Formats: sequence, structure tokens, C-alpha cells
Amino acid sequence: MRAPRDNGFLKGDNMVPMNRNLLILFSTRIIRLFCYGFLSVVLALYLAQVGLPEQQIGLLFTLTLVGDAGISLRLTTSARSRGTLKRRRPPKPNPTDACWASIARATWSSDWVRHSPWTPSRVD
Amino acid sequence: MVIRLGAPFALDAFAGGLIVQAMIAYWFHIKFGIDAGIIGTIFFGANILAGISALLAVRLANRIGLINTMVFTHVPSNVLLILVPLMPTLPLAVTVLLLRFSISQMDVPTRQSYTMAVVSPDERSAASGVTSIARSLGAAISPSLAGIFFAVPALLGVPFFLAGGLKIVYDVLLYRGFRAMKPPEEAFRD
Repeated sequence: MRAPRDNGFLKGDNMVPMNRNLLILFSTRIIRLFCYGFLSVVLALYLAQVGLPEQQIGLLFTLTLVGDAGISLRLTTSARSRGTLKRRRPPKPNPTDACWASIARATWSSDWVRHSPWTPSRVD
Repeated sequence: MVIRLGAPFALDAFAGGLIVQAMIAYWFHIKFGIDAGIIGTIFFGANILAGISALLAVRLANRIGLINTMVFTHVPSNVLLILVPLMPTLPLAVTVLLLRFSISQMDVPTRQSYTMAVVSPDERSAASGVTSIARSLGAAISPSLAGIFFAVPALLGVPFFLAGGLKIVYDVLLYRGFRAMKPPEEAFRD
């Protein structure tokens, strides 16, 4: 058994030295969570301001997460069936889905909400 | 094995879904009338604390074990969560929230590590997939419930109580079900 490596904060047998893959992995996580944090604070406030009642804000989050679970399911099953070597490939659908979500949201907030007869006047 | 772990994880995620960050932000807005800038600052602090705590969790887990770390940090963190809506003023509510965040994420790295450690190596991919889907589905249902509570001013605090309560139930289930099952590296140490 190897001697535990001292990495400052993290001590343990299984800590590997920084390499390129680790750097990429960390960077993508940082970008992803940056975007998440960017939106998470203001999203519910924004939706409320746009005139959505609380029940629908909750429902929207639920539907988003159902989609998320669906994508995870698709990715996990495909990762398993394709084997370990190709496991890096499945994340491809993600950007597309995110694009669709953005397009849907953009059109929705500009047209559907703004021109709908139920929209309160504070939207402008 | 994976399913036995997945069920409590789904419960935990369901509880977590009641108080997703966006909903806490919204809660602060309607309860105290503060704007997005201040809420952003609060979450900046909260998440920095959470990040530091996740690193400290590794040390704690080395000392007291993964399951103990998960349970003993998660229970107080959720007592704090229940206290948040009971706080009469904004500074107090923020303080409790920050305290909560400084221990609430310590179960995340330990949970992942535990899941990976107690399944056999060829099950890891499946274990990770099944538990994360169990969590996603659990978390998916609850925001609509939170929305329904938020719509009624008298029930504004209910998502916090419910989430905190359910998360403590999760800790009890986890402790009772898995305390005896040590990951290989801990069994080795004993």
C-alpha cells in the first residue's frame, strides 16, 4: 500500500496529481455551477415579476427537473450500454437541450407572456 | 443494495427540492422585501461556506467515518433550516441560513464516496446512475408543492419545516440502515 499523499487540504491514498483531464473536469464543473448560480437566485424572482403565480413557478421547476431526470436516465443507460471507453461521449445532448430551453424561454417570455391577455401590466 | 440506498436518497432529494435555492431567494424576497442584489450576496456567502465545509468533511470523515459525518452534520443543519422561517428579523434569518449552509453540504462528498465504496467496482456506474436518477426524480416533484405553499401567505414557512423534517427522517433511516455497513477502507481501519 502506498503512503498517503499530502495535498495540503486533502490527505489520502486515492488522491491523484493534477493532470489535464482533471483540469478540464474541474473547469467544466466550475462553468456549469457558475451558470447555475447565475440563474438560481433570480429565476424565481424573475418568473414572479413576469406574472407567474407561485404554483406555476413550482410546476415549472418540477417540469425542468423531470426533463433533467430524463436526460440523466438516457445518459446513464447509454453510458452503460456503450461501455466504459465511450463513456465520455454521451454528454453531447446536453448543450442542445439547454439551447432548446433557452429558445423556449426567450420566445415564451417575449411573446406568450407579454401579449397574453392574462399578463398583468407590470411586465413592461 | 443500490435500491436500498436509492430510496432514502430520493427522500432527501424530495425534501431538498422543497427549498431549491431559487425558492429560498424568492422566500427572502416576499418575507423581507429585499431585492435580488442582496439575496445574491447572501448566497455568495452561503455557497462559499458550503464549499469550505465540503473540504472539511473529508477530514471529519477520516476521523469519524462516512455515515457518521453524513448524519451528524445533516441533522443540525436541518434543525437550522427549520429555524430559518421562525426568525423574526432579516439579520437573524440570514445568520441561521449561513450557519445552515456551513454544515449542510458536508454530506454530499461523503454520500458519493460512501455509495461508491459499498458497491462492487463493476456496479459503480449503475449505482451512480440509479442513485442520481432517484435523487432527480425525488427533487422533481417537490418544487410544485413548494409553489403551492408559497402561494398562501400563512403557509410560507411550511416548505422549510417539511424539508427540514423529512431530511431528519432521512438521516434516521440512513443511520439505522447503514451504520453497520462500513465501506472497505473503514472496516480495514477497525
